[in-house]
Amino acid sequence: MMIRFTPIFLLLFLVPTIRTNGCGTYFHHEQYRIAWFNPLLINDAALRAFHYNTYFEFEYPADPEQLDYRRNCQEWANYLGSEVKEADVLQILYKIGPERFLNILDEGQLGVRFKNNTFIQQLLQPSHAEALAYLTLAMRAEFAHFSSTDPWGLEEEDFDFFKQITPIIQEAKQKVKSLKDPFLQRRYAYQLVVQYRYAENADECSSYCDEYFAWDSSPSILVPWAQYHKAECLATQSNIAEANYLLSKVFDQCESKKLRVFQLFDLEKLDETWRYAKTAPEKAMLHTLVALMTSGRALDQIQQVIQLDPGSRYLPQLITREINKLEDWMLTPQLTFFEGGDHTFSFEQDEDPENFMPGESMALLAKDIPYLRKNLAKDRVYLKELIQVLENWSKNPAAKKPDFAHLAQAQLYYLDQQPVQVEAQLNQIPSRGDARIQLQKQLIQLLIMPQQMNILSTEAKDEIARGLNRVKDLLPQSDEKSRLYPKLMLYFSRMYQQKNDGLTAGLFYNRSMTVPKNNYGSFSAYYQTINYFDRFATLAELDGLIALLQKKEQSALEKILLAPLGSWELQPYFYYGDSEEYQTRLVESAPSLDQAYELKGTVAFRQNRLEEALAAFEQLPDDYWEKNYAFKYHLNQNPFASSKTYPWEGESMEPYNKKVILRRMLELQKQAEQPGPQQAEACYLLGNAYYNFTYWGKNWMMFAYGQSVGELYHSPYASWENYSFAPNSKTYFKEYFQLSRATAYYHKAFKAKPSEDLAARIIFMLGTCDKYTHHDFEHPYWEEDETEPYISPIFNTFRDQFGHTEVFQECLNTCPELADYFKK
Amino acid sequence: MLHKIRLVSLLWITSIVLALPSCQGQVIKDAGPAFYYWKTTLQFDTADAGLADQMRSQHFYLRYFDVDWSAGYTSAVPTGVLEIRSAHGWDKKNITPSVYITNRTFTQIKEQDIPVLASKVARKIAQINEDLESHVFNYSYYDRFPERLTWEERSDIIDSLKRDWRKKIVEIQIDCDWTLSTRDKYFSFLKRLQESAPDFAISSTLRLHQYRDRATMGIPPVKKVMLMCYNTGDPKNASEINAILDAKVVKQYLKGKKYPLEMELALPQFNWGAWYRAGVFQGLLRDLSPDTPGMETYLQKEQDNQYRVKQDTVIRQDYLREGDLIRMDGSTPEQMQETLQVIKERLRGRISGLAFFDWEYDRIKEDQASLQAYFNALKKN
Repeated sequence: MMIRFTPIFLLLFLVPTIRTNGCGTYFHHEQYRIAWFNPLLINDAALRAFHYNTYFEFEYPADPEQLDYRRNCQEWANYLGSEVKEADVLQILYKIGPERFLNILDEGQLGVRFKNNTFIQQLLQPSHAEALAYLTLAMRAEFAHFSSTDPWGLEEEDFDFFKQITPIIQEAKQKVKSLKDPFLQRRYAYQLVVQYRYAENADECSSYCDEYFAWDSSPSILVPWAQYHKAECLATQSNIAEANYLLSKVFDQCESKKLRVFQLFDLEKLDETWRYAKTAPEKAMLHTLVALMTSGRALDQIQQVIQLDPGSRYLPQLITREINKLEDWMLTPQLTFFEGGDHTFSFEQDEDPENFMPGESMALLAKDIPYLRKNLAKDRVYLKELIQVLENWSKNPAAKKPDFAHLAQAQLYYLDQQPVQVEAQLNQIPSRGDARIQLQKQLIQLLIMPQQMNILSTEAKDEIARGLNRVKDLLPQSDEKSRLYPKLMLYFSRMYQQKNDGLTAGLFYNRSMTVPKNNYGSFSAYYQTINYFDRFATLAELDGLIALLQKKEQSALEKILLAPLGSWELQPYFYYGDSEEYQTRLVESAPSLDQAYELKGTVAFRQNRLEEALAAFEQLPDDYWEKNYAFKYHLNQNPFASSKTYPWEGESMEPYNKKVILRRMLELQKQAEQPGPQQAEACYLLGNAYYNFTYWGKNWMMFAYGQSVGELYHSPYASWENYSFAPNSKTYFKEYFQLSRATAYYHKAFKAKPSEDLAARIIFMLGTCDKYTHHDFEHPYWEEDETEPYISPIFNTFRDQFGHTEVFQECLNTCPELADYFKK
Repeated sequence: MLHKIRLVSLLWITSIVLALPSCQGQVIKDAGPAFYYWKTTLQFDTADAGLADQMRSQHFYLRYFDVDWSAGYTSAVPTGVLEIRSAHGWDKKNITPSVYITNRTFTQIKEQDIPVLASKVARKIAQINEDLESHVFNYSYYDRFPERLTWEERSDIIDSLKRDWRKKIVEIQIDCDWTLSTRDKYFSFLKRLQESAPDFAISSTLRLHQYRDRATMGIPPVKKVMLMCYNTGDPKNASEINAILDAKVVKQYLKGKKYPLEMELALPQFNWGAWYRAGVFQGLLRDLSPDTPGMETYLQKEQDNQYRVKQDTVIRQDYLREGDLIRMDGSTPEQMQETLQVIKERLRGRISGLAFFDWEYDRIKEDQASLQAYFNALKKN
């Protein structure tokens, strides 16, 4: 008996590489999260790290615009005189590094090497000798902190940090006492705060901080910086609550320490922290930090902030986070979680969850969908609460960003499906001005179109095309564009799915190929353009696709949908290489005309409409299947074999041509209908062919475009790694997995009075088909089968009626499993 | 005289009979299970030491550091270097310094840089050995001796103890999930490391797939391997039964003839919650188990090791939504029993040691009796 359970196939011809994480392919939620409301609207670079993010990694620079550094440089420039340029201070303090500075200083080359640097030139004036001395000490201190150059720590056994900073502390202490210049005195005091912290002397650190850097003592950047070091010391002394309080103020008063504050702030000690916050802004700041750290609902905290400090710099940030959360909770599952099943399934209506799921999915996922609906209902209630809070806040004169408030409200009304309210808010925003605001306005207008008009109409399609072009033109050329635009394509794909326009939905879908979805995303350039249509398109829709591809006068939307994808649409998840060739290359997103004909023929073939299938294949050149995709590997034998062989014994066939196969099938079908000596043989050959066109056969690419061992197990969940035939696997389960067509022809052959040898072969094949029909799809294929394998009772008939034939003996010789069974 | 000859013969025969089991294969000689200590900070307090003594656990695989590729340094660098705070009772322990090296290190490193890496790893281990020694035999160790002994006398004794202690560090274990494409570089590294650390036997961990597919994956050039019988599934896959330990999967992998190297076995002693929303993987919830205090307020058992989130809940940085599914992966008693059965069937006489991954006082304390039973079951095997 043929035993043929080897892992068969993964689609071939890898085009892009894909990020993987450990075993298997895995996209983090952040990569497919839906976020229409742009957090960059806040235009506050220092807060960028605190946008809503389900995968918080400190991958952002702490102070991207270097506001703190520039503040510090400006303080130096103010001190030394108006001729000193801030940029020159920045170069020395933050760009050249302490080692280089100290080397050049030792060489006495400062004046020469930095002859155009106004900061150095001023420092070299005799009147500023003390300032240069301070800077030298500061550089030495910095060197002591960052001079570990061997990451292995093997070459610095003699390096003693405390030995290095002790003289620095001594000198700074002496200078603090002796200097009269308050600027330099405070600078040395700051060095003491820092160095005592690293010397683990918390008392001295706090003492100098309290004496020289009280919160209201000066607008200097040194104040929050020093307080930050004090907070670190307090934390080491287990005074977490006070440290929390200081950290919240540091967060507010400088930029470069914000991330560190975020890491250090201890929510568990929050209750004890409140007593330190005396003023309304201080309390508001604590609520702000709590809200920033909350991945769930934070509206309570936001309301507190509004009440305590309605003009807070952080309110737009907090509101944006809440909008992004709602978008994630409400839209991400609907748009990206599910593939397969009934593609017109409406998530929001009370439909049978079974329709929503891929063919293989069963009970487990069915349980999930009611929860998703329930959460959606809860989110709608929360949405309305947020709308109310935002409406009230926007009327408060302290809320200084009217455009932001209108956009935020418009976005929430969009989520609440109130297009009239959306328009009312958008109309209050001027049509010119800040590009990001204009972009957001256009985006919301585009997003509500499906709520405002019949998107199937020509007018609506034209309007959507105009809206897409406007958004595309306004999107900056950056990752932002690459991330947002494909998601927008997916959004409209789903909108058209729901309206039963599979053609438009498919073309939109193809332009969203970089958005990870919870399905097997084909990594074959050929298949990814037909993937959607293969799974969902009707023959009528494929006819529509063929007509569209031949259409001379395309509409604006059709032009958008049929245009090749630019490299920016393929990033950032798919890496195509850095070369110019890859960066500038275009990738077709729509199927070619040939692909459309090929697919139409295959879909018709699945439906057993052989003449229609042949008519579609006839549009293609004979060598199409040899030159394209992986057809030649899985069409490469004569599927009919012969009346003296079994279906898997067919000779190799060239060219690999679906047309030839279909013509022969049609011929055999005629013979199979004519009673006579040839009838049984014709039926047997057709049975063989249909056998070979199933999952178990050799020419399965007549029927499917991919195959995977994963199909042998009805996993309750779609799998990232394995090719899935869903929903066709459900639609054609009997034909493709249970060999119903082959079985029918074998039965017909048997009834047509075949010769004894052929009859024996037919019975054997019926037993084989029966065996596969009984494949246990509920049993994970990777687990050993503890039970006895299913042996078809038809094989008993085979033995009883044909045991004397050569065919039977031949089987026993080639199939030990069957021989063993008969021995028992 | 005859009587004496008979007695000697009897003893001789008896000794042969007694020796027979070891002729048939490997046996576990340790009195108690070994453990991996896999944190970045070694804080082994008196309670830990007491528990280890109760379990007669003398052998610890101590993670010294990881090695990863640094794009900044364009070289392999150590990360998460062990910080030693306390090491109570470790003067009596056998320690195997262990180093995890990421596979991407071998993807990136050039062949010619491997000897340097091996040398650095060996030197870094030596450095941490010294650090550990100074913590194990710290100043308080001197107080253990009678007051009548002078400081110098105590010092001499401690020096002698240190020498003996150092002699017990006989092995270095390297952990790497090498693949076909990195195999050659990894094996080359192991050889070079042996040259750089000639006083130690180098051992390597072995994943289940590396065990089964030895024909393609190769046999690491070391004296001994540690077969890691865990992480049997992909936690991102919702249809897994238990991604940490699934006995049926173990069975699939434990195939083939005896592995051609001495082999020890590592079994899991850790948990996590694999978190899904509508079948879509959301993340791993560390240290979550059915015994986690308070979990019943937001989780409801659905079936086997699957739990449904009852209400929207924020856990650390994660927002769990009502209806999310949490699969509690870990070494459940059922899976462990079944796995032990598989091991007995397929690895009888082939295991020379057993270690649990990893040491966490509360967990070990709670499962002490079971761990002891698992160990005894395999020891008798």
